[in-house]
Amino acid sequence: MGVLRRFINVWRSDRLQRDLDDELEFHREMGARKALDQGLGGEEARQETKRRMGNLSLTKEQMRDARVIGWLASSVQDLRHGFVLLRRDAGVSTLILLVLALGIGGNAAIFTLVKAAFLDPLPYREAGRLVTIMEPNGFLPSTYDFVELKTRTRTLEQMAFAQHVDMQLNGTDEPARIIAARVTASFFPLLGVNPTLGRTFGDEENGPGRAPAVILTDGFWRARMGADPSVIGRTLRLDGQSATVVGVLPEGFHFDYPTLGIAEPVDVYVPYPLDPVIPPHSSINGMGTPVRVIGRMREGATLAQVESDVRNIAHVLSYGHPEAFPNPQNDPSLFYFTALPLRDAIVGTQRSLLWLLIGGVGVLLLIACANTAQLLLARSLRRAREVAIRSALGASRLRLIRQFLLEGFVLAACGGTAGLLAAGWISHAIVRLLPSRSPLLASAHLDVRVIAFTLGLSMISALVFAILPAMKGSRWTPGPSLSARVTTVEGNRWRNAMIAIEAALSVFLLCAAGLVTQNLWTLISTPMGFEPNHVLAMRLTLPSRKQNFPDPTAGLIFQEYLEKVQAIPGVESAATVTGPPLRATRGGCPNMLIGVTDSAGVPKSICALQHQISSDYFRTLGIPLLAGRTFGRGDVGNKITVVIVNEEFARRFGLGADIVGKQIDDPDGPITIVGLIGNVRTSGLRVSPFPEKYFSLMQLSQPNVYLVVRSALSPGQLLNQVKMAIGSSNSDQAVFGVMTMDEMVADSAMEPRFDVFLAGAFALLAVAMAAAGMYSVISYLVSQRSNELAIRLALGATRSAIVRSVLGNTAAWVAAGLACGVGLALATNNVIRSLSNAAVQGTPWMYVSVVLFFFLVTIVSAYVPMRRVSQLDPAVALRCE
Amino acid sequence: MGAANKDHLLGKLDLLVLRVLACGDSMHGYSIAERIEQLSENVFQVGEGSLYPALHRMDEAGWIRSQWAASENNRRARYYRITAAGRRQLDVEEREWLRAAEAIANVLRMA
Repeated sequence: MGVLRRFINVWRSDRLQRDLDDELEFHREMGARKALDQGLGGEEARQETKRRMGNLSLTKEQMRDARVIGWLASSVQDLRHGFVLLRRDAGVSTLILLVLALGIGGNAAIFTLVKAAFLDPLPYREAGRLVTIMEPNGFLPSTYDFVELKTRTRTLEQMAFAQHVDMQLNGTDEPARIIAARVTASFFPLLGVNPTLGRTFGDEENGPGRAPAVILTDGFWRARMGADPSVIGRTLRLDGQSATVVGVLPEGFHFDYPTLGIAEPVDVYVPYPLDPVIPPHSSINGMGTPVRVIGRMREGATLAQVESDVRNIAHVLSYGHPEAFPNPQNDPSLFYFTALPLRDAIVGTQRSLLWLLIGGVGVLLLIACANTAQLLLARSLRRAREVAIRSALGASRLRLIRQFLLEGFVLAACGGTAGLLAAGWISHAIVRLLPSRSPLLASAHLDVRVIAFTLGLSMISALVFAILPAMKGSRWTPGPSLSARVTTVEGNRWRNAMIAIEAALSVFLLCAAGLVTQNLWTLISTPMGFEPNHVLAMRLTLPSRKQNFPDPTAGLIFQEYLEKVQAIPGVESAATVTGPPLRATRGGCPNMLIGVTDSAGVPKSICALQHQISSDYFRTLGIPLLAGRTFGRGDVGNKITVVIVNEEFARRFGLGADIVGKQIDDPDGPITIVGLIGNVRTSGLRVSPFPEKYFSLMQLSQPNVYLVVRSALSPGQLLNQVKMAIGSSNSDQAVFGVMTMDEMVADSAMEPRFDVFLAGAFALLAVAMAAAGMYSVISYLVSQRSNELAIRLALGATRSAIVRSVLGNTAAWVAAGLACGVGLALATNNVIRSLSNAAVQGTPWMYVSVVLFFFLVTIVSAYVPMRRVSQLDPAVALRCE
Repeated sequence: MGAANKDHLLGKLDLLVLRVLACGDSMHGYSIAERIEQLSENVFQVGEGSLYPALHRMDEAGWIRSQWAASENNRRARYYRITAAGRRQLDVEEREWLRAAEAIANVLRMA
């Protein structure tokens, strides 16, 4: 009770003061009245009471001390003092606050993003036990894999898959292309999602012969169905088939992360039509239908157990069906399953982005602290007299240190609060700037943890930047400190050390930025292997129950479209391909090479990405044919008999120059290699060449292809013509996903470009702060020594000698900082490269230009203060003495 | 005046204040001082400089309670009243003081 009241009194010292005043005033009045009663005159009475009242201010202080918590009250006093000082030094304070708000706010924003990526719960039940299963090289498992995994697993208690397809929607306002996820009935129970309306799918709905059902996402239900509460039972027309709405999903649910290969938000869910008997195919062999498989680990199972479980299953499959699950020499690198925590898969490549951000803002905050420390150090030394007076009046060193630290805390708290306010905005800005949609990071939000983190970080920063000024500033020597002229060179070494640290850190960031820039440059300047100019690409999909599955009629239909498109005036050539350059494509591994054996005399087994192309594909994209021929009219039939391979294929499997004519052994008979083409960047810019094989569209075709057209016409004009040409053949054919190849190239460089933008922004901010730091230190050094320098000038010292004596020390420190920064960058070179996915090594030139750039910045920031030195007028400076 | 000496005086002041308050109703600082002076036949002049800090200290210690109220001439004044803890404290201090006084008296008589 008493403690509480004393605590409260700390915060209402005004009221306490008033009460004490009132009480003493009452006493005085009573005394005066009595003196009057005793017959003393007015003046005498006042004198008498005054005499008796004694030293009132001391009395009041003693009374107040009895009423408050002593240490707290003095801290509050110091804090008030801190605020007053902040206001008095408004310019410097604003600068410090801005720098701190930027530093702390940046960290708070990145923490918000990191929290969303790694800490915040995913919108699924017990998401920590969810895993996704993959084939090698990032291929998704096939439906056959799924069935086998599901029946054989001993560590996963529930499994489901989803496949994402484009569908045409009729029956609402106008025909539209929507994204549908085709899922197993177990998908929703596995994720623990309950529909807000209706039901989820039953197991029998994955079987054949059922009236199609559809579940709507909340977004689709609101946007297209007007949030109709009686939507259950209504029918939609999807890809020409009626489907009955059976459920609506809750608002927060989504499973459409681009990092999982789902490029666009999902609109509706439909049951996947699983055949009772699925032929054994993996998707790496190019024949299976790839699907996103997820599973829930049994209670108590570890990821390692799941991993070995699924690897065992892969072994069983590749022994049972060596033609479909390539593993001829029991080479586990050719076919295996791997289990990945769902969260890791969702974070995906954004992990490196987050690391880049963490590193960048962390270093920025350190520089901000160094700068603040330096400004505070200058200020604390300017207050040497105040310190001396307070010490003389009895303030202990500890009390003085506490005062300086508290002032630091005031700054950090203000900066932190401003930073917290900015954090939400900064994190949203980063998410908006991201090169790809990121539902995971977009879900980032401020919460108690962010606030706690920010406050903690502010306090730690305060300790970091205030401890040195506090230690230095609280020291005093009785004589000189009290005299009017303060010529202290105290703290110059620390000041220089601080700019050395800033130099080191910003050079480190510059090197990192240089590395990612060099990486981007390598990526975009390395030949693509094709001619992207004047090529328009678009997607065509035939309505089909199995969109990623061979369909013998598709080839004929696409051939018909191609003939119409090629007939358009102005079209140079046109072709279809299952996966154009830079876009993900499919695998194909089941074969052995006839005539080429390994050291044990066994035919070499091969694994290569596969494409199905029409005959004009290489000409359309300008991919050079190095040997042999492209596909011709004769390459038709239901069996694959001919193949064209790329250079990497020839190199990897040791085929040499006489590649044309060699054969690949396939279960359906030998396939002859008829042509050799150049390497093309296949799955995005950053991938090194991979062995590839091209089959003829007329021998193997899928209902889902890209149409590429080379023409001098403008893209808009061309697209209209192409749509008309295809429409004349089939008026229901949708054409979508239109993009020029140039756009596709730019698109695939987006992530590394964004890395460069971020790293560059961090590095430039760091350099700007370091430059400001150097400027202020050198200015300080100059003003500190202006008298001495003036005398030296008067005595005949040359200006260059003066400059040398002022800058010599600082220059040495900056050089040391530069060396440390480059050393740090070289030492962490591999870490930075793996975090930023950079494939390149930093060249010596890059490091040299970084050092030169920083050197230039140093000269610029030293120029103004040094000019002041050289303009120093000895007479004026000495008159101040 | 040394610190020990001052403490001794303050201790005595506490005792006197508690004793005065123990006889009856709540009183304000001025009347407490007046009463002590009166009862000690003006031997003790109680200065505000020691009285008020002592009152506030004892208030925080819980020996006395204070309350703002209107004075006899209708001014706002802080009135003090003794608490049960204060009476116990008074007992202790009174006994100690009487013992000490007796001891001193004995010494003075016998020597």
